[in-house]
Amino acid sequence: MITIEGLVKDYGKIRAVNNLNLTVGDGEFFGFLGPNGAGKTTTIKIMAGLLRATSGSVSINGFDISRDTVDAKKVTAYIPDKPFLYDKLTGREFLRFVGELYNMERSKIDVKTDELKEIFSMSEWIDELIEGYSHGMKQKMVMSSALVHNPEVIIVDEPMVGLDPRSIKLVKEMYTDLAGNGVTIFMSTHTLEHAQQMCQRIGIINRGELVAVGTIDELMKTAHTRHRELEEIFFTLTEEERREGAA
Amino acid sequence: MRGMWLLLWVRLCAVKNDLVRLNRERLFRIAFFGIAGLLFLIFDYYFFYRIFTRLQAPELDIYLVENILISQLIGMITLALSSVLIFSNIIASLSTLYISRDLNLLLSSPLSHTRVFIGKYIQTAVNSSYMVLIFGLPIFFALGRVYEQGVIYYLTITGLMIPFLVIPAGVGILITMLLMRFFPAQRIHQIFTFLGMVFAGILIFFFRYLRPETLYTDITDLEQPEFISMLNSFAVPDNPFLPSTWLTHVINGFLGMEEGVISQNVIFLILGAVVVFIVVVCIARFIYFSGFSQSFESGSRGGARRVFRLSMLDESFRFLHHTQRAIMIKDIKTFFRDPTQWSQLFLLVSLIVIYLFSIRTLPVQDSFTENLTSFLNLGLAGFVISALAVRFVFPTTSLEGYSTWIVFSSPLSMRQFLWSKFFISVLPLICMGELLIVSSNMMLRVDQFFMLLSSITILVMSVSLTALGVGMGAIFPRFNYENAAEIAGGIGGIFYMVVSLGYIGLTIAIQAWPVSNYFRSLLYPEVFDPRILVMSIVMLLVLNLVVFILPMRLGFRNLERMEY
Repeated sequence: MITIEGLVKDYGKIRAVNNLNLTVGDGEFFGFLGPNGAGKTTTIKIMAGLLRATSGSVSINGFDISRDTVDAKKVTAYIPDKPFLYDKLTGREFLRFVGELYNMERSKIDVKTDELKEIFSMSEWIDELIEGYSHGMKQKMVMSSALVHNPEVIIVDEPMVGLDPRSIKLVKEMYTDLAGNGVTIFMSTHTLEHAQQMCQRIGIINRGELVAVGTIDELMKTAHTRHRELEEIFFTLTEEERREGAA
Repeated sequence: MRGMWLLLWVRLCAVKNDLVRLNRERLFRIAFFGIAGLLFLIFDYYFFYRIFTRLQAPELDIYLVENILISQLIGMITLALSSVLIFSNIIASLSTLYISRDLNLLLSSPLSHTRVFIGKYIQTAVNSSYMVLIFGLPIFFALGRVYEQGVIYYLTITGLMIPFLVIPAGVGILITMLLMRFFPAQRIHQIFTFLGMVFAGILIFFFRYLRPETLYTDITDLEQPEFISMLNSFAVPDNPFLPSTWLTHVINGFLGMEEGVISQNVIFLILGAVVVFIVVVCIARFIYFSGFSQSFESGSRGGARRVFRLSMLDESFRFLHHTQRAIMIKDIKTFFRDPTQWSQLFLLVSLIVIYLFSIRTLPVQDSFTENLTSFLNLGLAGFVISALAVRFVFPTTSLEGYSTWIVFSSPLSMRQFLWSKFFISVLPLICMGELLIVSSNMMLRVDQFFMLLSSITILVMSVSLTALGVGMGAIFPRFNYENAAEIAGGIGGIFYMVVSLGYIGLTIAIQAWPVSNYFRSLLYPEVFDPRILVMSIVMLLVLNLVVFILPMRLGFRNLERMEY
């Protein structure tokens, strides 16, 4: 479960996130949408413990990310939008490295690695250096590293960028299955179609503020529209905000 | 010409913008390196001025000998400069012509490939030659002063530097182009880096084994065979087709050692440069772009590549916590699989050999001088350790680079992170320090007191300098670097060197007290005062605790406070 209360983040004079309040339940697949510069990545980085909030709090499964940092991180997996890996490690070594960072036993890591190797069809190249991987292979490796320690919460920023249709299908199925098995997923994306297909609830952030949150039906009500297409709802809500901001 | 001007314009704009938007760190760096560079220029100039003055000493009274020596020396210098230039151009052109980030933009633009190539040729020549120019010109200017040359000499020599630099640039670029066109591209960068380090190591050996100090030997007392062998040791290849030979002839002509050679060799140099430039550009029309596109066909994707497994590491460090062990294994594997990192070990080996060779050739005869040298040697060894630490220990936090997301979003605490960086660095530095000190003490045949004192001191120094490096590296991390060597050159690296030199100086100063007491007690046993020894030990303990604890604590705090 993720609880965000009164979250504020300032970069100097610029307020990137403004009084964000949000709760994501256990096993829920939550989509986080917003235009460029809306504050999505900042929020996600605070949740992952990579940025400190100016005020407010984020707690993951009851652990406050700024107070109980290590405990909160133990149950979380974070996948950034541009995940750089250690080029000079092999895929297997990288997974072992991540597993040990999360304090796993070597034997358990090896079992999990074999399992992930099959799921992501990585057998042919898991023992090669990462520097030789294609973008898609690297994405699979990052996803595997997020799953190696069996996280209870996954925070993922733009997971489909650069993936081929087959991989996108695999990722979608995988996240849906994980959510079905009780893993909480917080996903930021620009691809509205994916958010609509995968997420149980969606939050829309604009100019650092949460402008709407809920299921598609609830968002329709907030946007005063009869269109069930998320794209239409998104543009209606963010455009309203833009106009109000300009006024 | 448009492509060339565009490239030049872009560079100038970048420099201008950098200068206009100077922040405090950049200003400090420019001031620091500006002053250091100026001091180097002055040192370079006076060093060679002294050598030339010495060789021209009137007491020799043998005109022929003086000419032979100076001419040989000039030949040696120009040949060494040419060789360095060719090698640095090979390395630089690989980056400017095949790896540089702007190539995709330039080669996909309507500019012809030849124009882009010419622009890159100039960029390569400038990038790889300016240091050689800074080192070389003061030597030729010092020679001009010793021989009381006029303005024409200085103008000609400065002007001739252009063709002298253009020729090796062309040769270096040509070698790179041929390698990239006809050999598999995947390993070329690594091979070049490796060769570069080996070359640098050989060059240092070469220079040190020439024993430049022999230039100061009073040769009037030498026996004839020794004298001839010394002259022969300065002999350099005098091939009429080498640009270094042409430049040597021009300088010889100005200095009056040869007659009627100036204009002929000036023409050789200028024509040589024009011909090399045209030939290289013509060849580039056929092979540059095909080599560039081939460089993407690395063939390394998938299973073809051999991996240096280092599997034994996976079972090592079992006594450590999981997370610390994970970081250490990762660091060691990435270090030994990256030739740009491990190839620097060749420089390290050269450094050790030269260090010990220099100690061995020191003219110390009595036990007092041996012991004193051993004590002062501590400072020098400390300096070598701090120089190694700034290159290998200080960057350990920054080397996480763009992968910080995985380390800092994991449950690894900053303490565990920094301690693992400390443990991985401390043992090699201790070994290095002890190797330098114990071997040089054995060569100096010092007594037990000094052997014990210096071995313990270097052990403590190595540990403290490691903690200082790890701690300061975490206080001044730099994650967005392109080249690992940049990290040590930043404000934090400079600050580390200043602090570590202060620490070494203080250590020597504190120890000087009991050491002088010990020396006096050898003559007058009654003056030995154990309280002096105890007090200096206490002071050293305090100093080392501060140098060990403070930077590590500040490093922890900074990493905890930082945003990634």
